[in-house]
Amino acid sequence: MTICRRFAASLLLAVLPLALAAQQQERLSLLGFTFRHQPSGEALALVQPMLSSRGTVELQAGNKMVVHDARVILARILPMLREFDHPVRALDLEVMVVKASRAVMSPPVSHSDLPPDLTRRLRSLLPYDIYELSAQAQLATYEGQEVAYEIGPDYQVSFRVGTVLADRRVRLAGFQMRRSPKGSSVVRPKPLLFTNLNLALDQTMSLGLAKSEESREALMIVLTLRGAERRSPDREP
Amino acid sequence: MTACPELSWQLLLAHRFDVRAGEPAELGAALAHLDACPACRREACAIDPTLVFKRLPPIADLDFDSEAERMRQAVSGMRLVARIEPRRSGRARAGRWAAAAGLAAMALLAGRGEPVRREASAASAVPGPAVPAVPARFELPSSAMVEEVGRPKARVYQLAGDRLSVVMIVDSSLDV
Repeated sequence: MTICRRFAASLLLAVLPLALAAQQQERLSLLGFTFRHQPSGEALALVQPMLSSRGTVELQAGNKMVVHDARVILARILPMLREFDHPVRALDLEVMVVKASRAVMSPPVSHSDLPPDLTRRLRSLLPYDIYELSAQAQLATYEGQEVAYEIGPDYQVSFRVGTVLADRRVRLAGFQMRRSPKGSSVVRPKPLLFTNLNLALDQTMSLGLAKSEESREALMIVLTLRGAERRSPDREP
Repeated sequence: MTACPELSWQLLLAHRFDVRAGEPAELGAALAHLDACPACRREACAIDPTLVFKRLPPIADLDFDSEAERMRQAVSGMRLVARIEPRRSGRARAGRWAAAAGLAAMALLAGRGEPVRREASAASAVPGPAVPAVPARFELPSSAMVEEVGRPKARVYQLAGDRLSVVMIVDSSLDV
């Protein structure tokens, strides 16, 4: 009788992990989501950190995303995807190209072409006294748009506008800035910067380029992104 | 040399992140003190890396090339770990980036082997993938303001303020 009990207990112990594993496998559920407004690829970076160790995500043709994971995880992902896939929003981007420098004369000259608030803030944070506006542009754009723009005769910028995320951040992917060599309209513009920028809506970002920490000059790109009330492409009939 | 400021550098520099905080009355004396106190200077720069530009003469004696190399190694080490480790939750990943920022801070603070008077909370002066400045009492930005800049020797300084964010990319090969 004892032997029978021991055998039954051993059998139970051997089978239990398999049964539990099988049960866990069964718990994986599938979520298919078809994006109507935003590109599915942009949501990938948001979904991946939310997955469990067994979870997977794949993109499919037709702007679709398929996620396999535990039901509880999918229940968190779905509302996030719904919020992400909002109708395309119009955005206004103000770009200013600014030459910043330190005063070398005495008494120091402190000229600025920038708005007083911005000048005051920049002067409190950086060692530059003079802010000369080299070029300026107001770009009317919208989520998902590829932008290539000549700002004045010397500067060109190009980037792709990302989706406005829940934390009001927008990625400018492939942000490239080029400058034409002075006095030459034939030579190709030289690349100054190529990166991805993450801007916050209704905030200003001052992006400075300098040769060293001690440089007396810096080239600054001042970017301000705002929501706009214009009609966006996918709202049109 | 004047005594180290009584207010913490977190409080002294809060106005640089949030305009509403207002400049403390002690700031002028504290900034003057920075010139003579390497420990305070390192702590202040760890909280706000853009101070490197503000306090040029004294800070310039830091060896930026070796500091940058140390931070580059610290961050690339974290990147390697990220590649090897299985996927983690967003919170764990944020923690790991915070740790990378901490490592970068320690690399910066390690400067010349002098002791650090107070424990710094974070720093942001790294080449390549920019790690945001993360003073303890301010929110961790959910993503870097500037990602890879494609310049391996570039040093990226970031200050995430409430209305104005400042990023400085420093590289001797920049044609500016």
